[in-house]
Amino acid sequence: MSAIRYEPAAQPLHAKELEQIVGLRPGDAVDRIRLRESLERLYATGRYRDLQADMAESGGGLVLTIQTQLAWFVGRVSVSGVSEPPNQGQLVSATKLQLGHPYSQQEVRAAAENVRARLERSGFYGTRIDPRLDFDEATQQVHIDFQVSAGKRAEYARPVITGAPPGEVAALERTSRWKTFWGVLGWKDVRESRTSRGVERMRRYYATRERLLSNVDLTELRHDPARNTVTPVVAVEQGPRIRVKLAGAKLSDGKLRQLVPVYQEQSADRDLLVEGMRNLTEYFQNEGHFRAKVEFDTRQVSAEELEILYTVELGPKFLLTELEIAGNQFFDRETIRERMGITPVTKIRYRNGRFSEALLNADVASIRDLYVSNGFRDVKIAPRVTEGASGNSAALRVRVEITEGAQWTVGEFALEGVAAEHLDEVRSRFSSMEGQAFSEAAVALDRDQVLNYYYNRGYPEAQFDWDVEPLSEPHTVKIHVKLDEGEPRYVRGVLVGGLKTSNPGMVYERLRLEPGDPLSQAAVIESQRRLYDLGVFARVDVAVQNPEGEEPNKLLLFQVEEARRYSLNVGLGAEIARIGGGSNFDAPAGSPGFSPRVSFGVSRSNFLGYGHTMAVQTRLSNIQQRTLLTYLAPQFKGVEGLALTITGFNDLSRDIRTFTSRRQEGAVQLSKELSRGNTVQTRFTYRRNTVDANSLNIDPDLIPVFSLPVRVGLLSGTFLQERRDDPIESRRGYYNSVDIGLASGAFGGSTRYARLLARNSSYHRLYGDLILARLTTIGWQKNMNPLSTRTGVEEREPIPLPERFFSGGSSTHRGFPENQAGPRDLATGFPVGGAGLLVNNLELRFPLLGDNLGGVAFHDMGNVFTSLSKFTLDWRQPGVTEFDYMVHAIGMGVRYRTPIGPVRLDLAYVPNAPSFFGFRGTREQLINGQGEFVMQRLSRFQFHFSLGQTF
Amino acid sequence: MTRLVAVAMLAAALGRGEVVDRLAVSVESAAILESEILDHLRVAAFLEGKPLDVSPRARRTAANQLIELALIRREMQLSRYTPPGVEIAKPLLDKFRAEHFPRAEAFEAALTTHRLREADLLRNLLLQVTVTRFVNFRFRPGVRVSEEEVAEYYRDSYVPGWESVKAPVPVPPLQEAQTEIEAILTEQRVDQAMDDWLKAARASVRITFQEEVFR
Repeated sequence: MSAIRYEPAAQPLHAKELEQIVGLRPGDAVDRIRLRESLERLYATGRYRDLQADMAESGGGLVLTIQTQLAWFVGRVSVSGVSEPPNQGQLVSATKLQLGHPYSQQEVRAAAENVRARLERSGFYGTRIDPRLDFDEATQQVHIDFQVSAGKRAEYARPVITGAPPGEVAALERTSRWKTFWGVLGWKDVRESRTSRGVERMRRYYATRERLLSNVDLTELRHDPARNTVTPVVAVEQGPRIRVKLAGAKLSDGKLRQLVPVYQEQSADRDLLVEGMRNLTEYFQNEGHFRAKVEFDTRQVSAEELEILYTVELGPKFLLTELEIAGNQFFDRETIRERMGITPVTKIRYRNGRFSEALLNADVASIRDLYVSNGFRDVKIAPRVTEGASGNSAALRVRVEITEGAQWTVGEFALEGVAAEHLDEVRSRFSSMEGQAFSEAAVALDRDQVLNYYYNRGYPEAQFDWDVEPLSEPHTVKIHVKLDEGEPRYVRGVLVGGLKTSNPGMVYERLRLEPGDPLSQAAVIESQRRLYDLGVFARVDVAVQNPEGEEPNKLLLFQVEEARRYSLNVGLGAEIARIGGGSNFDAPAGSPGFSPRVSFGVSRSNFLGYGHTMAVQTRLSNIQQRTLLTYLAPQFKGVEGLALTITGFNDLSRDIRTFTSRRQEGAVQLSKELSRGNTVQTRFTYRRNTVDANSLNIDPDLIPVFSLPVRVGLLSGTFLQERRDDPIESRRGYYNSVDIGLASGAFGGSTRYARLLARNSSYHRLYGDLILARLTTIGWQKNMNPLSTRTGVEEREPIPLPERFFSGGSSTHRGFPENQAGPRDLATGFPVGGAGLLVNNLELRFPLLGDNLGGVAFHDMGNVFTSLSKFTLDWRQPGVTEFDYMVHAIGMGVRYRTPIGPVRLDLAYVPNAPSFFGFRGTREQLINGQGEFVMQRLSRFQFHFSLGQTF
Repeated sequence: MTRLVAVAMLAAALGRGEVVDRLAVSVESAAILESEILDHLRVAAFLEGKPLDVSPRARRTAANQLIELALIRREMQLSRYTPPGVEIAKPLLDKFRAEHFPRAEAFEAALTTHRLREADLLRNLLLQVTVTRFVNFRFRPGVRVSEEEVAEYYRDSYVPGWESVKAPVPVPPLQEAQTEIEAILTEQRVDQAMDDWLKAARASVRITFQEEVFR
C-alpha cells in the first residue's frame, strides 16, 4: 500500500489514534486478514456505524481508502408540549433512552410509544408524538425532543367493578375518590397516581374488613373518544374473611397486626404465617419469656371465614441478670460487648434487659464474624443459657464461651499483572500481606481499595482475581492476586447539556475533569457532587458517551435539569418562656408567657444564572417582627469554599425585656473555608438602632441618653473551628469560635467600641455512653466613645443598650431567664447589659431509659459584668445594687432523641440568684417619684424547654 | 491474499477503487465483515468437500453462525475464560489431512481451488475447539440427569432404537446402558441449554445487518 486514506477526511478520532487502532502503514504489504482485523478494531471503537475498505491504484501504488459513516449517540432527551402530571423527568425516564448510548431509530420509535403509554395512563389519549432530532456532528450526539400534541386530559367515568357483591360496588366507587365533591361536580380528571391510589384504597377497603386474601386489580382503562372519558375496569375477588387470633397470651390488636405480616402483605400463605410465628416467639422472648413457644393452626370456619390461631405457651418470665464472656484473649470484653445486642437488666436504663434466642444467635454470628475477619478461621462460639442464676429462679445467666483457635496468617503473598508504575501504590493498598492475619473479608477490602485506585486513575475495566492455598507451615496461607489492569481511558472532552438560564462558565468551573485527564471515577463523582452543590440543579446525570466502544479517549456527558427558581416557605411556631409580664414594671425578670410566631419566605435561586440565591424572609411574633433580605453567592468568583453574603434587615424586637428596639441593618460578609472544619469570616455591618423611649424600663433620667438613635459601623472577623463528631448531638471533639469587631466613627458610626467574643467547647466520652461536655464563653467590650461631661462627671458616652452583652437563658446560662443576666437598672430592676461576659457550662450527659431518653446533670456559672475589670469568681452578691459576681446554677434535664435533634427540658436551681430593687407602679409614678421600690429576687428555680442540646 | 491482489490489480487496471471488504453485520461493537463470511463459507465447503455456495441465502446462514460465535466470544470475555492456544488445532488439521489428502500436493491444490491458506483452516479448527470447550465449561456443570430420566430414556428411546437397528442382538440391561444414556442425555441438555442461552443472548444485544451485503 502506498497510502491510507479516510473518507470523509474529518474523522472523530485523531490521526494518531487512528494509526494506532488501524495498525496499517503505507509500505505494508496488502493482507486481507490484517485488513479485516484493522476494520474490526476500528468498528470496535463504537464511533462508526458502517465501514468499507476500497483499494485503488494511484501514482504507481495501491491506495487503501476506508470509507466511514459516523455512529450517533443519545444526547439531550426532552418531552415538550404536555402539562404536568406527568412531569418532564417522568416522561424522559419513560423514554428509556440512555444518555451517551448508541442512537437507533427503532429505540426512538419505542421511546415514543413508551411516552404515549405513560401519557395515556395520565389521561391524554390520541396524542401525536413527533420526535424532533437534532444531529450534532462535532460531538456525534443526537438531541431528541419528543414534541407532544396532547389535547385535553380525559375525565373518569363510572368504574366497572366486577366480582364485588352488589351492595359493595357503590362503597368501592366512593372509596376510589375519583369523583369531585362526592359527584356533585362530576368526575375528576385522570392522573396515573390518582388511578393507582384509587385502586389501592379499594384494596384497603377489603383489608380493613379482614379480607386479607382479596384481589383488586385494575384490568383496563377503557377510553371513550367521543366523551373523552376513561372507565376504569376493576376486577375484585374479595376472598374469605381472615381472623387472626391469639391464645395463651395477651396482645393488643395493633401489636398483633405488626407482628403477623399477613396484614401488611395481604396474603396468608404458609411462609408469612411461619414468619408471624417467629416474630411472636421473639417478641415474647424479648419480654422475658425465654421459653415461650408459639404454634399456629388454620381452620376454615365457613366458606366465608378462615381462622388463623396462634397458640402461645409463655412459660415463666425470666430476666437476663448475668452475661459472662469467657475464653477471649485477642479481643477484650468491651470490644465484644459492642457487637452484642443482648443486654442484662440494669436498674434504670434497661429495666427488662434485652434477650431472645434470635438476638443471642445474631450476637454469636457477630462475634464469629469479628474473629474470622481477624484471621481466627477456626473460632468456636458456644453460648450457654442457665436458668435460676444466683439462686433466683427468674434469673437467666448467659455464658458465651469463645474458643479462639489459632490465628491464620499470610505466609506468602504474590501479586501479578501490575505495571511497574503502579506497583508501589497498589502494594501499599494491601493489608493482607506477609505476616498479617488472613481473612476473606480483609482480602475483599483490599480488592475494593485496589480497584478504586485503578478506577480513579482511568482504568475502568480493571479486574481483580485471587486465590488462596494453605502452606506447609500450620495456619499459614499463600495469597495469589492476579490483576488485569485493562486499557487506560482518558477524557476526550466534557459536555454539559440542559443549561437554560445557568451561566456555562459557572458550570464548567465546577468540573474536575479536563481533556487529557484520566477518566477517573472519583473525579466524575466529585464533579457531579459539585454541580449539585451549586444548588441550582434538580438533577445531574453523568454518562460516558459510547460506553462500550473500545476507544482510549472518551467524551464525558453531564446532562442537567435546572431546579425551579422560586421557592416559598411558611412556618408556624410558638415560644414558651419567661417572656410575659407586659410592658409595665411589675415583672423585670419576666413571667411565663406564650408568643405565637408566623414566618414566611420567598427565595429565588440561580439569580442571573450564576448560582446565587436571593431570599426574603419575614417573621412575626409578639416579641419580634423582622424582614430579612439575603443575597448569597456560594463559591464566589469560582473560588471553592468562598461565599459572599449580603444581608439587609429591618427588625423590631422585644427579646430583651428592658426596651423595644428597631434595628435596620445592612451587612456584607465574605466567608472562606480554609480547610476542613476551619472557616474564617470577615464582615462589615452598618446598622441604625432606635430604642422606643416609651418602652425603656429604666431610670427616667437615663432615657434621653439611651433613646437616642445610634448608627453603628462595625468591621468584624470570625474564626470558626469545627471538630465535633456531630454538631447536633456531639459526643467527642471540640468547637471554637472567636469573633473580633471594631465599631468606629471611621465606618460612619456614631458609637465606638471594640468587642471580642470567644467560645470554646469540648466533648469527652468518659465511659460507655457517659459524655462530659463543657463550654466557656468570654466576652469583652471596650468603650471607645469620646469623653463627655454631660452628667457632670467626665466620662465616656455610654455604649447603647442594644450593643451591649446580654446573656442568660436555655442556651447560655440556665440560672437566668432569657437575657436576664448581669447589671440591672437601679430604679426599675430591668437588665441593662454589660461590657464583660463570662459563662462556663459543664454538663454530664448520660442515657436514662432505653436508647432515646437521656439525662443531663449540669452546672452553669457566670454572668454578664459591668466591665472586664469587674470579673470575679466571688459567688456572693456584693449588694442589691451590685451584680458583678458569679451566679451558679445546678440542675438536671432530660433529652428525648428525635430525628431533628433532642427535645430538652432543663430545671435549674440557683442558690445565689441575684436580688435587686424593682419598682411597683406606673411610668408616670416613676417619673413623678411616686410608686414603691420593692426588693425582688430572680426565682431560684428556672425551667427551660427547647430543641437541641444546650451546646 | 490472491483474491485481494487480483482485485487490486483489476482496480489498478480500471483506475478506480474496488471494495475489498466491508461491514456485513454488527453485534454490539463487534464487526462481522463480508470477507469473514466468505472465508467461513470457503472453509465449510473445503472441510465438507462441497462446492462453494456464496448465494445470499448461504451468506445469511453463515452470518447467523458467525453471530452466534460472536456472542460466545463475548460471553467468554465476560466470564474471563482463557481460550486454548493454536497448538491444540494442529493435530486436528494433521488428522484431517491424513484422512482426506494423503498427498501434500492434493492438499495444496484443494486450498488453492478454495482460495484458502492453511492458516485459515487452523483458525477455523481452533475456533471449533474453543467453542466446544467453552460450552462444556459454561453449561455442563449445570446439567443433572436423574435415574428416572435415564430409565425413561431407556424405555422410550434406547430399547426401541436398539430393536429397530440391532435386532436380533438382545438389548443390554439398563445397568449396562446407563453410562451411555447419561452421556447422551447430558449432551442433549448441554445443547438445549446452549440453544436457550443463544436465543436469549440474541434478543438482548443489538444486531444490525447491512442488507446490501446479502443481496
